[in-house]
Amino acid sequence: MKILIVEDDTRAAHYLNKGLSESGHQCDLAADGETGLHMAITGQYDVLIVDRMMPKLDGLALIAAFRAAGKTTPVMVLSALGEVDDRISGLRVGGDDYLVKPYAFGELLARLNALTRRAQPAASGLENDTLTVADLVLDRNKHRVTRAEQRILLQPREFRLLEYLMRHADQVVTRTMLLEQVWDYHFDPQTNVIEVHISRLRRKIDRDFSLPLLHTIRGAGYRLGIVPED
Amino acid sequence: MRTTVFRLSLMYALAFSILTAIVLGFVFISTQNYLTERITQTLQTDLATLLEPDADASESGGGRDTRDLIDRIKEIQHFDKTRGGIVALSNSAGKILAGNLLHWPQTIAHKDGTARFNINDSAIPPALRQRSDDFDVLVFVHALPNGNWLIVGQQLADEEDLSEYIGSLFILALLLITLMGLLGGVVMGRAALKQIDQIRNAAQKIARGDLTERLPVHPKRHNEFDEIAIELNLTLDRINALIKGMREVTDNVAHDLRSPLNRLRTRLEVALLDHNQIKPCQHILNESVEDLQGILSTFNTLLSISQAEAGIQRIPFSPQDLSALCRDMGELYEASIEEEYLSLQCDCPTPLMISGNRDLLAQALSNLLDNAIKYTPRGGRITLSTTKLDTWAELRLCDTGTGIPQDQYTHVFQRFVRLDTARNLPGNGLGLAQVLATITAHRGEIHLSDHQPGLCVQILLPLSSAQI
Repeated sequence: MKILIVEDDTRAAHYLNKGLSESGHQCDLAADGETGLHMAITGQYDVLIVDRMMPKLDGLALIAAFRAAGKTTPVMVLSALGEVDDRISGLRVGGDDYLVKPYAFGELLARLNALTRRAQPAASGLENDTLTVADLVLDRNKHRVTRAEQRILLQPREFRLLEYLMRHADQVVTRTMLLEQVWDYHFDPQTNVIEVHISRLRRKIDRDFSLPLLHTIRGAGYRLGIVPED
Repeated sequence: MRTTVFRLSLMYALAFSILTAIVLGFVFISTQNYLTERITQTLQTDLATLLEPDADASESGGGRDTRDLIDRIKEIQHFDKTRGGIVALSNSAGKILAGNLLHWPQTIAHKDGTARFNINDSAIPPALRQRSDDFDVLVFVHALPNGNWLIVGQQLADEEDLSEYIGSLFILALLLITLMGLLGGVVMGRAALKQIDQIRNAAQKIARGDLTERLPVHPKRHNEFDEIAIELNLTLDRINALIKGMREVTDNVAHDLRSPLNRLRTRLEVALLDHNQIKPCQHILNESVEDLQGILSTFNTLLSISQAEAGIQRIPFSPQDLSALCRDMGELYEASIEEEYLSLQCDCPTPLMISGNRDLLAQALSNLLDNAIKYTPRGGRITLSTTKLDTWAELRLCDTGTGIPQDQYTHVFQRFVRLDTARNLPGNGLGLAQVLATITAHRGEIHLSDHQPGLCVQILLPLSSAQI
């Protein structure tokens, strides 16, 4: 996809560009807010990555102006300001997701994928009541999960976890994303509490079947799908 | 503080009363002296009238004098029946020659001058008494040249009545003044206390980190308290400016340090994406990324502790149910706890509404649960419970682990403190410091105690006013 990176730290922008390009994306760079806003409005992008603190026009003002111009392109806000109210103000002006520096590159990649997937709901079948990955089927109405026609019993939280993973099938989903989306917490656990929930879920959906579906992506997170990325 | 103000006003009231008593006593005694003086003068005039030489008796002899005096006494007695006056003439042997006394009064010496005796003396005929109760008689005794004694006197019934009346008035006045002194003391003491309370409330808010709070200053009054408040407010303005500067520096440092660290990590991660090129050192790169993650995580935790310590003004608070949060966190951690062969008992039935920040509280609870899991051996038990305790929401998290020695209870809340027993376990020594900063920012308290074996952490958070 086509990404606009608005970041005043040119070296950080350079590595972002390199990483995203190697992941198969095409990037444009803007080094200050004014240039960034101009490029964002005139160009066609799938997603914007905007740093918060920038010379000339700061990130929040850029997003506000961008949204005021009637643009709906998803925006990812990056910031060294990690406080809760900063996060809220970032989302309030029209940002779609907020990532606090330092972030893992895998986290950014996963969130960008989730953002663009969300922007095209019709294509991904989000409105369906049943989600299907290979022979794994989740029926939201009946609150029922089957794999190869066999019923799998899940706890309510496990159900929500699987539902989120299936909605983002074939994407990398990070632990922080799961903690935010499934448990609604924005904090940084010292131990990996999510890992335990994942391995329990994996035991239920993968253990009795030859084809593993729930994969751990080292240093990034998890992916639900037929073939692991690496 | 309270007792000092009231003791002071009590002492003032007491001193005031004693002074008033002395003044009133002096006035009372002076009045009595004045009354006695007036009566004595009257008696002297009476005596002078009695002894005044008669115009036509000037040439008569001494024997005639006595008879003349007796006549005059009888005359006076005749006109003076109702006044209660006393007059008598006795010879040198004490025999009454004329007058209204039955005999010479027992307690009166034969000596010139004033004297007092009680009305109950048998010398007073009952018919002469002004009233039946007890009072004194004031008399003036005079020796005549022929050896006879003349006595004139006055019953003091009315005067003593007056004295008693004035006395009781004075006692009433004294009581009233004492009462008003006490009341005034209490009222003024309370006014002072109110001002002190206002200053203390403001000071408490400031101590909790709200540096925008200022001590109250009355716009017109300007008493000593206001003077102090003005001085302190100026000091606070200065401190606030300094801290603002410090915060800006911290934010800049955070930005400046985190950015290069972040770049370093992104560079490593991007390098890792290109598998074929760097296969030989992939392992080293992976470990570097993980180390970097550890450094950044410590750095973030430090920053978030400073933010929580900086106080309430930068953290958004909203109504939270502590019990629901505990149940939620218990559910999140249940799997991890079971994985370590421990059991979790969560007993948080009643909703406890507090004003707080959900993410900060969750982080604190997460740190405590991490600790409990880390330091409790297999087969142990972790209990998480909440109850209403007076005006507090109480949270207790107890484990059956290694616990903390009692003399280390305050030490463990400091940054980067790790006990010897924890040296070989993962962690950065910031967990409890973060918990303390969070609880303090929520105006709460945290206490550690021995669970025998294990550790009990008690957290008290102020309940929302609606639930008290």
